[in-house]
Amino acid sequence: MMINRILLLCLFLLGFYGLMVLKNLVKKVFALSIQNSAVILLFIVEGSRIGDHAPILSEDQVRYVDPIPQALMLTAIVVGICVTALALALVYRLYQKYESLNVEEIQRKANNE
Amino acid sequence: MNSENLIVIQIVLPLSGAALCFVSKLLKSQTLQRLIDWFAAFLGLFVPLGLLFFLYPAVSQHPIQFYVGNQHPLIGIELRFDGVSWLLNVMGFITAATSWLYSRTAGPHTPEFSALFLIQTFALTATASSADLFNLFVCFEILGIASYALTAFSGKGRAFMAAFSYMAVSSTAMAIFLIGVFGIYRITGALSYDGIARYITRITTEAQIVGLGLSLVCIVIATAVRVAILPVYGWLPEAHATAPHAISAVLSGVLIKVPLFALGRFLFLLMSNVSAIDIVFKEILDVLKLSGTLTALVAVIFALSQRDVKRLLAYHSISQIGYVVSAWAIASPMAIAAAWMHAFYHALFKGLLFLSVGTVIDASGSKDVYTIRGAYKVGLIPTIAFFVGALSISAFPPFNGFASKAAIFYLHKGSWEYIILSIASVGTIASMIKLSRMFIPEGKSAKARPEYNPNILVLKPVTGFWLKVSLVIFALACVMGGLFSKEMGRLAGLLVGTETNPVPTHLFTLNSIKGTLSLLAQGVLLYLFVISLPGKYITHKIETRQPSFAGLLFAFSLGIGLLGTLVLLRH
Repeated sequence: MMINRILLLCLFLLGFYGLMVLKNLVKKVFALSIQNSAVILLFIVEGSRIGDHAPILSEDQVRYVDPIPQALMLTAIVVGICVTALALALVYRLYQKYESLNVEEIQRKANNE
Repeated sequence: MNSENLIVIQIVLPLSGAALCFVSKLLKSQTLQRLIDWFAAFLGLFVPLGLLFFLYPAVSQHPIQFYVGNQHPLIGIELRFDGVSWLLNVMGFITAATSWLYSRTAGPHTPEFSALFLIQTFALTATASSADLFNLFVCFEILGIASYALTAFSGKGRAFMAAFSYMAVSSTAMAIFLIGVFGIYRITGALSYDGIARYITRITTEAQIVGLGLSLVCIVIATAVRVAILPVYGWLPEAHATAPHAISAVLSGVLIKVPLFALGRFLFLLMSNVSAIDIVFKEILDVLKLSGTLTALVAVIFALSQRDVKRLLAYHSISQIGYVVSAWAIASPMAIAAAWMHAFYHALFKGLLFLSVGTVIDASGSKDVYTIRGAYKVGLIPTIAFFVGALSISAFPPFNGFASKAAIFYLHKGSWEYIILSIASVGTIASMIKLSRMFIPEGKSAKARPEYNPNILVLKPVTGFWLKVSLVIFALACVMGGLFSKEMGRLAGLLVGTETNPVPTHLFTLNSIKGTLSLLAQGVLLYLFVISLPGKYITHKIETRQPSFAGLLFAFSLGIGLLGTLVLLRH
């Protein structure tokens, strides 16, 4: 149980590290996506432990898995895709303008404008 | 029609307006396109303002709570439209509608712009009445995505980079927000505010209190990124400075405050329950009050150092939000009313400043406060508008900033916050004097300077009916807000549930005018120091210090780490 949480934390921190340290903008977008996936996995993995049957309504009352965390994550995945799409669009426009994906180079060029 | 339907219509109207704008893109005829755009904006920005008027009688009695479409509570979206939601909507729609009018003259004119603008407005009103943590998350995300795209709309390289940084920090914050939501759901088994409030009273074990405390820290810090207070404000100046002027006005005026008050609707509801966790709330709010007060001072020092006029105004927004947070964190109904008043008045005068300064920037082609001269040539209305805004933000009677700042100072009377905020006001006055330099006529000596650029100084009077209309609306609102501040205070007080008026009864007295004059004198002294040689050296050092990408994220993790450690240590 604990190992799950530790692994998920590692995944999240990996994304955070990538977003903070990597210079390439596309890789930063990947990192953003990894970060988001870590949170989604947290909901799914932890949420699946509330109850133990498939959430299908039937005659006999069973302790089925709480469906809410999974349902919420569908929304979160959609939101994540929107953010990724917009991020990639911004990166593309930045590349068109400065012909580089290196964040430091872009910031230097932008400040000299 | 019952008030529940009115609320749903009011939320859905901006969204339908956005859909109309997208449809208008399909049309070939330019005139038809523009006509549909106008109709969409009328539907999405002006009609909801009218609806709010009809909602007032119901809201002033009691909050309206319901599930959209009468769905089952398990699957339905719960909305809670209370006094604070009403106040936030008034602020949002007035600022958004006026700024949109400005964009009709100054641009951008494309249907996509209007569509995104309306989606952002939709997210604002949905955030203001959300009563469910997950729904709040979704609203924050829509609000965010629309604003990242709108920031990039000016098409400049810097704007793209600013939008990217804003998005990176803000998305990370939202991931943390989700973790907080998960923690709360795991412990209380509920997502709606009411459900959480019910379960929270049963919490007794230390492990649950710590777990809930840490989840709250995640949610509070994630929201603080949107609100832009210390230490997580780094994304704001660049984003607000590079966005189109109409968007800057909405971003600074409304977008940074709605998340704060939405968070307040959640926190204060939980706090009203007597439970073991109340102590954690108090600690978090104390930290926010400290952070808000310091933000007011630190940001104004940065503002004073800027050359770029729009960056100067952006730092002012951070400083003013500091005032709002410092009052809001007291958490009494009167404090919330005062915080809302300042938030609303700030939306009006900052909108006015961004739009009038934007007009000067567009006319002169420069953003440098030291190069622009003779800005009065752009016309009488922008000039008057600028000075109304500058006097309001510097809290001169009888303008609106004077009343709302008086309300906030009244709350802090006798505490250390009072002193810090007073120093910050001196900084505000000094930086407004600096900004007013743009209106000094160009002297003969200016032409001799090496940085003199003859093209910049050819300022022509601006034309454009809607530009002037928007400036006049904001300016009138600033003056009226000041003159009728007591009535506004009573209204805000009633809607948040208190009989006492946050605005002090003796507002325009001889003493207050004396106080203003002494602040003005200190402001002038501070300004003289800034333009002196050592002052120039210091401000130049501060100005060139730009937050890097990694720095933004580092500040965020620092904030979350500090507040988390505080909660862990105390329990």
